[in-house]
Amino acid sequence: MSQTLGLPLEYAAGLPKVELEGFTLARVECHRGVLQYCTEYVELGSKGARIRINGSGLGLKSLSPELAVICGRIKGVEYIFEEDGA
Amino acid sequence: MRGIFDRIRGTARLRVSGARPERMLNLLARYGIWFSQMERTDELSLCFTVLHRDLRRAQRLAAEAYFDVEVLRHSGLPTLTQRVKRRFALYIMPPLCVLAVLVLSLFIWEIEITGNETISDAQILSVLDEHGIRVGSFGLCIDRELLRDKVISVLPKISWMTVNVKGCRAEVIIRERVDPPEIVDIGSPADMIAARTGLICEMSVFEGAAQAKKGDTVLQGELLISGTMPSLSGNTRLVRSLGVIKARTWYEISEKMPLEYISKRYTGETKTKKSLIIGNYRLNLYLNGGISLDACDKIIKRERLSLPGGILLPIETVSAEYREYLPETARMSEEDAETILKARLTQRLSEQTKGEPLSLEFETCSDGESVTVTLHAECMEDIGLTVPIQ
Repeated sequence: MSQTLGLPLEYAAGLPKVELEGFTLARVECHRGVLQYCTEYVELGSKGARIRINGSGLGLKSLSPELAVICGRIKGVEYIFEEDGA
Repeated sequence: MRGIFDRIRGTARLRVSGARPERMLNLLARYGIWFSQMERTDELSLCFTVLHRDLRRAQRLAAEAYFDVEVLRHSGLPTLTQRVKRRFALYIMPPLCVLAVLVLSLFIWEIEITGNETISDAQILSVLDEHGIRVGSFGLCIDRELLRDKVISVLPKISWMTVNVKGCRAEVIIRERVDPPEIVDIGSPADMIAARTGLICEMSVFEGAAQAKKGDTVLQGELLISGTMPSLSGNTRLVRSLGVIKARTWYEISEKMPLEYISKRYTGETKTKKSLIIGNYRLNLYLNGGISLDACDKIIKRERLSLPGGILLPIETVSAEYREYLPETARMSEEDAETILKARLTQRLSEQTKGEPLSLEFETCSDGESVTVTLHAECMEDIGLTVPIQ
């Protein structure tokens, strides 16, 4: 279907898309809300997994149902799949 | 720039407390409520800032999600307008002040007079007051030409006058009449006589026939230069005598002063009465107008109020201080009395003669009750006095 309509696969499947700008900004599309938040990590829900962004001094620059922008010193992005345990 | 817009729109800082406060963030995102400056204070609390217009919605969402919401702070223009909403004076006073300044600046609150030398300010102000120019009068309808004519008719020593009104200040410019110099009639015949008795030291005759010479002692009124001169044809001709006759003259003047006098001993009792003068109206700031002190000195201090920058207001404070004293007899020393009398005699001598004093001798005499000082002075002066020939 996505190939027929020419849509990107991740949008069609509802999969999250994470973009990192340098070491200080991360954009996450197609998320399912903030699950946990503190200055050392931000955990977002998504289809099939949780996305955990680790770092220091993290903050939510903006949050909408479609897009979450996390700023701060980002040290890593971790996917926690559901079959791996919550 | 963002900060400026936030200030204009107004913001509120909230703290939500409850289990998993991240849920609040999801709710805000879902309902399109913009938030910023997020801060995790502890495991159960989260602080963030929302716009003032979204405050109620955010509070409602938090309540529905069983969060405790606390408004930490309001800021921005909506908060300010909320505070001043009930203060009607803040709305009314600024336009009222502007109106008052505009209206009051049409009236004259200060009159400045320049250019007068022999005519006093009080005289001019009195005449202006009679013709409608005073503190508090309307400044726009002044007929300068008419006013000048009226004032000059009352004060003929004024040759020209104008009134310039600048805002609430009237500047009165005066030009006084210059009296023409005394014209000496050089044609009228006159003799020159001695104005005082003296010993002639110098004699310069420019016109006329000299009747005395250097070294002569002349009495007051004696003829020094005659205006009657023989002419070549044998007749007499009359001329106006002219000359400079310098002579030594002598003066003897004395004054007496008693040693006992009445002095003031201040008791320390003072009373002050204050008044306010607004324009021409006086407002007494005291109830009892009388003074219960028997004998007192009255010291009046006037102070004109002004704004920063030196702008004078038509408001003056007058403070009258009454200092009680008891008159008592005192006695001065003979030396002090002598000093005072010598100064007075010297002053009198300078008023009597225009000449230069050559010597001054004081003679003091005291009888215990009073002191008498006599001044013997020798001066060099011009004693010539022109008198017309009858």
